[in-house]
Amino acid sequence: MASDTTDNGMSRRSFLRTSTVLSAGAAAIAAGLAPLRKLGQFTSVDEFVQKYYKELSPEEMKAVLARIEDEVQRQYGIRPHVRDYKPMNGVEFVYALNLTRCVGCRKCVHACVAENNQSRNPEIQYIRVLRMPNDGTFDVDKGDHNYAPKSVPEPGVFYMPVQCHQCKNPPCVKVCPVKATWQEPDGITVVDYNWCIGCRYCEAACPYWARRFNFTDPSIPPDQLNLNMSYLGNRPRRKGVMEKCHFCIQRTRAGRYPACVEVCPTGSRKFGNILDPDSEVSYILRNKRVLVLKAEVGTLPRFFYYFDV
Amino acid sequence: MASRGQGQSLDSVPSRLNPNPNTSIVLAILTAGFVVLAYSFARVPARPGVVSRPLLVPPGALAIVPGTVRISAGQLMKSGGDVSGLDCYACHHKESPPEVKFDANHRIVLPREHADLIISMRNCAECHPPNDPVKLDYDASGNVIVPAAHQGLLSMAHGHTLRNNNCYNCHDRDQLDQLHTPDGAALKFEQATLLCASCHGPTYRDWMAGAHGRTGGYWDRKAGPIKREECASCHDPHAPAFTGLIPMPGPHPLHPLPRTPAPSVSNDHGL
Amino acid sequence: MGMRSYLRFLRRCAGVSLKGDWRYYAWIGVLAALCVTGLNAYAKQFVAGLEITGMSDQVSWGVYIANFTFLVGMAAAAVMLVIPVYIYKNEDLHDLVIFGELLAVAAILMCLAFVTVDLGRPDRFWHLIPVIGVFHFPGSMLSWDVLVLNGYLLLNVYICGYLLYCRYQNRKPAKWFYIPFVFTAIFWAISIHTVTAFLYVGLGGRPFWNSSIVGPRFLASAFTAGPAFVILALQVVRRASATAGDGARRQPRGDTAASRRQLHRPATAADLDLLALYLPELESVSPEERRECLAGATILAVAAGDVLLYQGALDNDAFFVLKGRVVVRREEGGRYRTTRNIGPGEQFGEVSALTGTPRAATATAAEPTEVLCLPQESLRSLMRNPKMNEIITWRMGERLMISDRSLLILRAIVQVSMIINVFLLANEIFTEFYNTNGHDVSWRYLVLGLDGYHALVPWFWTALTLNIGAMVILMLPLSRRLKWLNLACLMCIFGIWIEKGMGLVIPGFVPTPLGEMVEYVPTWNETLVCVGIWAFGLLCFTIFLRMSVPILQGELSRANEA
Repeated sequence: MASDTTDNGMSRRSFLRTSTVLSAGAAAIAAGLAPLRKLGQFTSVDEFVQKYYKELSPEEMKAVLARIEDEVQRQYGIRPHVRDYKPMNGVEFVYALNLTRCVGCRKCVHACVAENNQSRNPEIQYIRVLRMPNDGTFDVDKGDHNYAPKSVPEPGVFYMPVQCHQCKNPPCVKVCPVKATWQEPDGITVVDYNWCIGCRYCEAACPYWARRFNFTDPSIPPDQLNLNMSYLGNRPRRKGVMEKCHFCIQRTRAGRYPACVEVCPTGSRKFGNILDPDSEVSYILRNKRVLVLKAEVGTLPRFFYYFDV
Repeated sequence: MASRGQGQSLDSVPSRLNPNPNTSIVLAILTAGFVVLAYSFARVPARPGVVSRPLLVPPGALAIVPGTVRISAGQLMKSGGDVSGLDCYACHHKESPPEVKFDANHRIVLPREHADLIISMRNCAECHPPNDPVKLDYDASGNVIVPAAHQGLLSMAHGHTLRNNNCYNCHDRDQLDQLHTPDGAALKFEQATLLCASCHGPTYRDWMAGAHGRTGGYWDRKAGPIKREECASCHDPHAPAFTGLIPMPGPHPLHPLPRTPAPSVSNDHGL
Repeated sequence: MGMRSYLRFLRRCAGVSLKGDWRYYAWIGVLAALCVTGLNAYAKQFVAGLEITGMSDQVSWGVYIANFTFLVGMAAAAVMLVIPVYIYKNEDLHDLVIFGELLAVAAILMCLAFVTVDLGRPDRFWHLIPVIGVFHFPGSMLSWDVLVLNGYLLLNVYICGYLLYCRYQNRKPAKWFYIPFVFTAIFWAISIHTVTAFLYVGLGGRPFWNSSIVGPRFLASAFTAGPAFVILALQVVRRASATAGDGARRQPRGDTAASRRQLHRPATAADLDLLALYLPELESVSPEERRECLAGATILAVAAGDVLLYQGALDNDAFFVLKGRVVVRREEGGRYRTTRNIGPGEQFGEVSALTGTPRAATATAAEPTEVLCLPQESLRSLMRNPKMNEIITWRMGERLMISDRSLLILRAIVQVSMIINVFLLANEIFTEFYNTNGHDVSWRYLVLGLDGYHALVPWFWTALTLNIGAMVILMLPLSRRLKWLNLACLMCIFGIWIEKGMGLVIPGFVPTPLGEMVEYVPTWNETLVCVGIWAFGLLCFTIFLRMSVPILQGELSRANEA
């Protein structure tokens, strides 16, 4: 029968061998995780444990806003004013876009980027302008997204800007597993950038391709930062969360027009409170022939297209 | 030895399970493999493939530059011009007069929201004295011939028919700085919008309701004033159609687009 | 008993997983290296963001979610082994159920890993946890998926753990402790894949997915790929648990100890009392029945290495071990595989005794051993007692036998599922292509290419070729031969992997709802992450098998705790 010494000798040798392999494996794991050293500011304890927007008390909200101001100041060297604008009573926002007048100059696209502190590398754009052939099909599949003629408008086409339609029946809100995106009483669908887990299910659900994901850390030149910020609106986002058009919540909840409306040189973009019968959008819905994009998906958009003639 | 191991449980006799020299070789290869992996992880940069893309739009590119010869009140004031001749009551009601401010030189201070107000064309009266009607020449097709001296100042392209290009449809025959509607009602220059309205009724109605023309400022009238534009702020009355704009840059793709495929022949994949 | 005994069980399982021959080390070593490579790739992605994948706002899900979808199907398919056993009482698959369920556990672990690497903010996973986070249930299909996947994981871990632990303790599992869970798991398995299909089907803005046939297609394809994978995995287990080297130790065939009647004496009532210590069911046997049983019964005392019965022999005594240990090995194609390792109180040889069939394996004493040898009639008289009948029959069923017959039953499942899968695909293709309603752009892009873009066209046709090829092979009698069956299984697995990944998830995004054509190609880093997760899953599955096979064979049991 085998003696104990042989057995012990063998197990010692096998133990040595095993531990060599295991330590080489551990070294490989450690080296494999080395990129994490370059992670930089990913989250903080306060950010990690921050509660859901709707569960924050006013005092907690104040602390959160101050923390975000600190974060922006640390990152961009300039202190913004971050507020939490609340929806106004008796207000439901509606957008109307005049397809007869739009010339496809894309000023709205870039005014939006500047107003809402979107990343510039790559530039995240909430508005996509389609150049559509005037052939009677009204088919987005025929739209050209990358048109770049010397001058617009061009003959034989019309231009159709698309952005978040702020649906009354929003599929993106329905699918979010953590309720990080929801519809506010004034009709704006917002995202809590500190609650979003980045699953991008909402992006798959949106029939208007209106949601954008931060595939990497947003980069904004500090001198181009818009310092009038809101929690649910244009404060700088972090990598890995969704964002979307919020009708410039930091402007519209203060009574102003969205940036895309103000910049539009042809006045194709109209915005206002549909509950106010004297607003321009009420007038348009009463007097113009309006249509919504993809009515068949039943999302009931608050974004209407109309024609002049 | 051979039979000894069989009855023992697996975990009590580790040596039995790797009597094969192959085991040592495999473990040695694995050790080497892990070391090579660790080394290569340490060497390869941690953040591959991050593309630095140029800014799409330089700062300031969004400023709206007036495309025609018109002069706004703001531009006039900036260049030191006099706006005192402005008739506030062309638009404001006399019953509820606006609050008018004057500067040290007793010149009217125009509120900021009127900065975009178009108050003047080039001063026609400098060359065309009052009561000296300009004689118009027409070409064979009935179009007004713009004199050579006006080349570059005026282009006549109002509407689709030539009869719209007659100066005196709108301007007073004797005083070019005065306007009149087709039915003969005299209008001041500042009332140009009403002149436009005399033909473009539905558009004027939309404009009045806010559904036509640029808007800015406040949608909420309680929070602040809305900023509106008069017709001539955007349209050159002589050639109202929009001149071409240079489109701003398009989408900024996350990944470089591999190629632009040749457009399909039929381009009707939906049908 | 209790906690300590369970911890000892876990410790021994962990110990076993670290031991094996050089092939085992090479295999888990390579998998571990791939895991680490995947981990490194994920660390890079974590730092750089999902920018370093091929995904974009246009194609916002890629191979991660594609693999997730495929693997949910693999996990669901474990029930295709469970259903015949527990509902149709098919004994051939009995032993294999546990392998199917272990595959389900490994597949779900991979699913969870794929979802995690796809998240933009994995640090915020706690937002998904009901009560402490905000769980959008029942509104969001994703919350359903979180619930059913984790529930399925727990169910299968529990069922496998309970059955293996009972086996380890050589105790009969209590029906109430697992049968209800098994039936729950069957419904649950259908639900995990249906819910995953609903993730896609529920999106009204994506006509490519918004089709009610997607759910049935998911199930059909899962029930093809899952059992196909199990067929291959079982053969690997069969080969790996057979050790070629053991053949050298085979003794020349000669008389068995039993036939030589060496060192034997007639059995007495005291021997039965000794057996009753290990086999409590024997207590219920009346003295009269015991006497009846003892007629013709003998006690054999044999030395280590003595053979008690030979595979293929036609004798028909049944044996109970009183002392010592007996190893049962089976020859299959020149290789020997230990099927059982038997200690006191356990039986062997009863199959031939009851059925008259030749011995299925060779039994050798591993140490000085005493066995109770019962002639056919004695065993039958013992089994007239209902409790004894139950325990003996149950033990017969608990053998680890991967027979070709069980593989062929799985073949039938794969065959039918693949036919249904191809049929459903044909339905979908007809509906999309015969009507030109504008809903078919993604299908056209997938099948024919669109406007000069055709990155997915080769994938689609490869999948179609593999699926139809596999279907044809499976329908022909030649697939009863393992070589062809394995080929067909491989074709099924790859065909369906493509069909559900590049063929289902990606084309749903091309063109975008606004008609933009942006193609998707996974990046190198993204591919490495996927390879890492697959390696992780295979590593888990390998280790699960490494632990459970010795338990099922009786090599690892409470009886031989050191």
